[in-house]
Amino acid sequence: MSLLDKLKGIINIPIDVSNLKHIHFFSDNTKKEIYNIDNRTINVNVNNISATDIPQVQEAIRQAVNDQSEILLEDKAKLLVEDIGREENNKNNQELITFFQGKLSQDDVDLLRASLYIKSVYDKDLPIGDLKNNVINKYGDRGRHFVNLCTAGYFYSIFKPLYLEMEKDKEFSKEAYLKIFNKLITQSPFAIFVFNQITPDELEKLVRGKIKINKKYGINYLNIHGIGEGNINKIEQLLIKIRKELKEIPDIESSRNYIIVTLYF
Amino acid sequence: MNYITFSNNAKKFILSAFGKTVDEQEFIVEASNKKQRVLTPDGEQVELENFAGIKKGSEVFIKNDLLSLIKFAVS
Repeated sequence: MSLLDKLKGIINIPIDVSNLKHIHFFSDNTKKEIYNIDNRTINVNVNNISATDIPQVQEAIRQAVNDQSEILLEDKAKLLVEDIGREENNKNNQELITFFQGKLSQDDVDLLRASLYIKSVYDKDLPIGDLKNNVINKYGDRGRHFVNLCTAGYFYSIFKPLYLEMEKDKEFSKEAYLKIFNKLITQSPFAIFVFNQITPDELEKLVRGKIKINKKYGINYLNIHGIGEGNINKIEQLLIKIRKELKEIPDIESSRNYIIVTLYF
Repeated sequence: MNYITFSNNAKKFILSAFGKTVDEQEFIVEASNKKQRVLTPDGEQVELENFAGIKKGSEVFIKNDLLSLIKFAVS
């Protein structure tokens, strides 16, 4: 017997429930009703279930999960899961995830999926701070770099082509790729992502430090990315300061709220 | 997937159905042993605020952060 049929009996729902598709539990002590029906959803107010009926309702929920494989999900989590599903149906995202499946660790594939989802939210001009913090809380700076590199398109422009290029080598091994991949993720030698908290002086110090490291390893360029007006201003100030020290005029690609500057030295 | 959903304010009712409650620090614990905090498959303790749901499999607790829901979405 389904949870819906059981609820009909326990809390006395005197209508045909066969057309209902969805059960939702909520708690509201300002409403007297035990349930209401909205579209094809029955909303059950747990606050108004009688004390004698509560154990039966809870037993029915438990059985639905344990015996009928129903999944209990909080409203916001369900919306997020559905949104993730929609974004993962995007052909480009699917291709990229499929490409890296089995090449990166499962944790990194999940991180890639999370990063692609964050990028899709960002592309809709919606806030991404909380989502990004979820990743940073779990994976620290590596997670931050991973998301930044993904949202800046590096998985398409660097990491995938790098794998395809390395794969052509007879001596190729997945471990060799992962060694480089991890180095690029953790050190991000060719990219600096300007964040809100960094001051112009700190940025200058960071850029000069990166230039020094890149030069040492024969890398003669450095990309600087900034999102948002404040970060763009910091990068523009920096360019005024260091322009004369550069070998060539920097490449600048910018839009209203994004700037990519490539420095050559 | 079939979902039964619940609002944020019905979390304790749902947890109670599975013999769980929360401790003084608002972590989800076994009602029969309040020193035993429940764990996600990743071994993480779950605060009430971060509780997103339960699915079958020896009571798999789901957290509401992006990475947990990403893993859940493909499992």
